[in-house]
Amino acid sequence: MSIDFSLIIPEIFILISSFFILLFLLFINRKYLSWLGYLCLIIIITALILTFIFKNNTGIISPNLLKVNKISNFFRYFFLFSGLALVISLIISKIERPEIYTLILISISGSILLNHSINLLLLIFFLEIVTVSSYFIPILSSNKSSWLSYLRYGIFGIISSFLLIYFISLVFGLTGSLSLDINVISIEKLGILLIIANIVLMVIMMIRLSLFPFHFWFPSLAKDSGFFTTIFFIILFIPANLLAFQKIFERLYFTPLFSCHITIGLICLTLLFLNIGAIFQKNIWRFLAFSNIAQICFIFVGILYSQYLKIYSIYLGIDNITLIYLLIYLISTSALIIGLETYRIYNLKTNWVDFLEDFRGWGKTNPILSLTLFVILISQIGVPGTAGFLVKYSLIKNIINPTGHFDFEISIFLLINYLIAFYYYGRIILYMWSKPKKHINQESESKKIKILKKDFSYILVLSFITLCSIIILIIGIYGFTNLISNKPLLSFLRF
Amino acid sequence: MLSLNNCFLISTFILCIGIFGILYRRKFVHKLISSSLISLSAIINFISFAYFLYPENISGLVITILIIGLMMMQFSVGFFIYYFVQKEEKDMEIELEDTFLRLKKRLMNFFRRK
Repeated sequence: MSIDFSLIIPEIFILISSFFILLFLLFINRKYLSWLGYLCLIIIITALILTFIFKNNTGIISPNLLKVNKISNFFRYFFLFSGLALVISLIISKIERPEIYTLILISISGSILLNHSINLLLLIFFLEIVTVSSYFIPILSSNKSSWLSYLRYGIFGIISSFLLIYFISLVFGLTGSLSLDINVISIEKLGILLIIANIVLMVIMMIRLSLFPFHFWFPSLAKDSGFFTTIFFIILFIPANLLAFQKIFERLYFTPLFSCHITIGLICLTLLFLNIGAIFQKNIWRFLAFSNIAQICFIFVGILYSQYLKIYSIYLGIDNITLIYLLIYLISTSALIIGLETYRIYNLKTNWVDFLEDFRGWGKTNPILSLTLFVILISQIGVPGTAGFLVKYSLIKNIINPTGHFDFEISIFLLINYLIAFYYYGRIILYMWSKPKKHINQESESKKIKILKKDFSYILVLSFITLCSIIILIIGIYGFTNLISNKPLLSFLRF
Repeated sequence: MLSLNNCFLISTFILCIGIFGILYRRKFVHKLISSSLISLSAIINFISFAYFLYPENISGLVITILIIGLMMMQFSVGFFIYYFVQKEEKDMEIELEDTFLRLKKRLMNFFRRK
């Protein structure tokens, strides 16, 4: 059995460079490691260039273990972009823990390899690499305010990992192999095992994605650990888990009628809980956790429908709305969170305890940043002309199917949740352009911005956020003109 | 004599003990040990399926070894978390006031009232 390493050059490059960084940390004094963030930025950009150069390299890396196709190539770009956002956020937050850079690089390569894997054991192994990194990042990046939420996450993570191992054993018993390429044997033969496997899979999914009965761990962890943990979980950990579950569903969804309705029901409950919960939040990190898991629920409903109704399939390459939604979610969320933290560091010394009050007067103190964030926020809402509208519109349009079971009701439910999201995001925009706080001296604020404009990291972040908002606008306007003229929405993003 | 059904029953029993321990016990270490019972039941499953259902396929036994490795990794991380938090916060009780416990208390109160 030979392994073709030429197909995974970017991943090997990232892994080798992460081990070199680990070696450097042993020999070099930590005072001189301020350039480490920029080095990581160069590594990720080089990996992006390598991915672009070898974009046509597809094939089997090793039989029954790893395979590179166009979809997994797409996820290379996806996770490298999220790595880019994470490194930029590390640069601005100035966390004095250089080990995090290695952890990020390893978790990015793990999440990319996860998408290449066609074996369940390998999939779980790469998922565990991302999970183990997620155990260390809250410790290294937080201000040690409260450990209770961290302990809760730790124990839930470990329990879900052990349950995942139990699930694999059941799959092995049912099929005799762990390959994701083999279809499952007939359902009637082993009914009890199938039901147990489905229940275990659902429990794991609920814990990992912070769904309905276990929806409490992520918001409390985000509140206690702050900016970097929140962004890591939102743009790397949860998408990686989502894609792993998608891969499992694609091949091993044993009883669709039994599980699909229960799973969609759970996700709808989570969506309603989180959307209503987001309205009453005062801490920004809790709010972001609530609202972003609600977005993830939207995507998950799309994935389940693609599996269940075969309206659009990711692997058949008919219309990849779910993938595009995931991409736009990544771009807008990372830009939004980085923008908020940038504003906090450079303009406003706040802890976001009452974030709506902190948003007052943004438009006047920093117009460029607030304009870009305005574009991102209206995309999160789903206003026509932005990328967020296109994906939400296509998702709801594809689900409406009057002949199916509860499909029309679910689409109405999604529409109601869309309106709730419209309320809580729209409220931020209103506060942003309202009158500033009385105690903020605008002249001193503008002076501060003038000084900080010379800072390279500030320019880097501002250009990143502006680029993200321009991408969102271009995709949105292009898709909207196609929608009016009855053409395929995003023909250039088809696989 | 051991059969596949007996093995599966034993593993399910161990799984149930593990889940009960996770829900009932309050301390972090107890929860960790209870969760290890889940992986133990998974290992019993693997060996029994490989022995009874797929004797020609040795991958079941190989996977067992790999899974023991994964289990060790999780355990080391769990004890690291426990050690680190206890070192940082000496006064803090390492107990988890989670939703299950609150739910249990509420249910107990409800039945007492009845």
